Amino acid sequence: MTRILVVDDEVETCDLLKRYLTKKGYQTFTALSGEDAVNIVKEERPHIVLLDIRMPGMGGIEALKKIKEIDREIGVVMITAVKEEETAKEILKLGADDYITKPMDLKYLDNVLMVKIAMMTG
Amino acid sequence: MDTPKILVVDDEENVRIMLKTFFTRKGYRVETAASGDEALKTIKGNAFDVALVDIMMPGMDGITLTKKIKDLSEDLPIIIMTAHPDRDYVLSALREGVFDFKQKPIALEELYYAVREAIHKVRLIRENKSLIEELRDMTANLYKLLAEKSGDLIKEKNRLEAMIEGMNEAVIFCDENDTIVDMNKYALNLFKVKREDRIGKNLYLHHKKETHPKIKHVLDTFKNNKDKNYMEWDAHIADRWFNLRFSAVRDDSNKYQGTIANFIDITEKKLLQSQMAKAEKLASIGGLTAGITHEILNPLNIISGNVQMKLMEKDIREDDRKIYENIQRQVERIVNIVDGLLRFSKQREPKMEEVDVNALIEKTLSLLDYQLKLQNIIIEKELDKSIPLIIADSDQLEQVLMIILINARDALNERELKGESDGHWMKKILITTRGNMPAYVQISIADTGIGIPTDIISKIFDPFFTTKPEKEGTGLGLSIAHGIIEGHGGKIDVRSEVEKGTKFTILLPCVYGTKN
Repeated sequence: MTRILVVDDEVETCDLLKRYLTKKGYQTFTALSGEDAVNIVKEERPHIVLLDIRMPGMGGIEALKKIKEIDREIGVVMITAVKEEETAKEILKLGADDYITKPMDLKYLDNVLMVKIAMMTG
Repeated sequence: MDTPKILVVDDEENVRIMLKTFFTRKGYRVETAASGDEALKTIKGNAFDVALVDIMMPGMDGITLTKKIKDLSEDLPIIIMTAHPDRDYVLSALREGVFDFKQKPIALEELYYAVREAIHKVRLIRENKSLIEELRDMTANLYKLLAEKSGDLIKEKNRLEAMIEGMNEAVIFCDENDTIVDMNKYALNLFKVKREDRIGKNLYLHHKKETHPKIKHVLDTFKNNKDKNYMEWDAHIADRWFNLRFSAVRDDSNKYQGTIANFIDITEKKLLQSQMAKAEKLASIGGLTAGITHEILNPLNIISGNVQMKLMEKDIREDDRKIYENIQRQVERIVNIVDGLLRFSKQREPKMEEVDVNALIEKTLSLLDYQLKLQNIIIEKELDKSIPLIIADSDQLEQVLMIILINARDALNERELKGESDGHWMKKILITTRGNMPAYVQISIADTGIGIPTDIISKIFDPFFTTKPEKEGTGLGLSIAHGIIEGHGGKIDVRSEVEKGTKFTILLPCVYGTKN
């Protein structure tokens, strides 16, 4: 089963995504901070991490770097606010594999995940 | 007073001795001469106070001698001594300016008094002469000094006048009676008045009713309050902003003598201040907005996610489904507004580099190419190849071009929808670039769309102003475009006629001297 880690400082966002992803058949973990995320990545080795860019403490960008240090193969999809093109470009430059904007279109998220997983296994 | 000196002229030796002895005893200095010639010789080298002359001498006669003595020493009193006074002779002698005459044999005491008188008189005359001389010298010196000082004063006056006339601010003097003493050139120009219409006239004669009380207040304050000497405020004069300064002039005993007013043009400064205030506000709004949008987006995300999950349920009732879809649409609307706000608040400092405007236009058109072709919009280009490079942020400029082209597209579509009775209408956009102004490159984008009514055209650059239905536009596009162009130091302008079309003209400063 594919493992996905959802990282967002909002509990309800994490819950929502966990509900959806579990329904879709993924094994879903959640983390409420960058530090927690890094720990869970070390322990559970998820295939993909959905990472919110704006978090207090260790922010999304730093968490991204740390996760990539642990395992470059892990797919990291950043969650950003609306259609910020400049930020998006920067995110990709920093090593994120993709990005998705809030509020999320769940069907779109599904497609992104499927493509990523296909690329990883194929 | 030095001892008076007497000259005795007589051919008889005993007379000479007698007179010399007598007058020496009286305390005078005496010199003698035995003839007219000797007398003249003696007078040449000496200053005598009086001459006693015997007119009956061999050689020169008395009258001639008198004349000659007068030639040598004009003011020397002559007392003639004669044994036989010939009345006519005496008269002639007196006419020649002889002081007195004494008959021989000389009554010494009488002679003495005459001599005393003569000396007194001659001394007075001489003193008078010397005083006049001194006075003349002093006066000449004074005049010279005065002329010098006047020259200096005039130079100083001219220098000060030149300074005041040359000042790039209005200077107005009025005296203690509120009479205008002077106005400099700048002031006369500012108020569009002639010198002769104001100088010497009362200050309030030509004042507008609105300004009268304010000025009066200042002057009254200065007059009544010895400690108040300065007031200032800003005012609007002839469409520009001025800083007005009033200074009281007082004499040594602190008495009010008048007021000097300075008016300095601060229009640019005020503009800069308001621009800076705007930029600061924007910056703080920007920071605020980023935070707030995130706060809004998180709950929106959760609402949207939950609604989406509900919509995925297979056994959902039709009316429930409609409700959830409605909620989704509303969420979409909020997202658009937040998105627009975020973009608006992100009007950052442009990242400047050399930009080829024509190339940028081509690039932007290529991005819209498919869409424009699909909608049958004709693009005409008149791009001047000789325009210089400009300094600009190419991403931001591209954004501006996009915004205007999208607006043009929408205007054309709107007009097309209305239907054209006139079969000649062409659905087109004309883009031109020109570089014939020395410091600017001009871009214009003109469409044959529906046009902008005159009552709203002044608002189109206002943020959130839009004529489009809510779900289509946030009204921020043109205000962003305006902000970007202004941030580049350029200008954006619009001309439009309803049912004819709209033309946007952009001016951007160019790099001087660089050609493509």
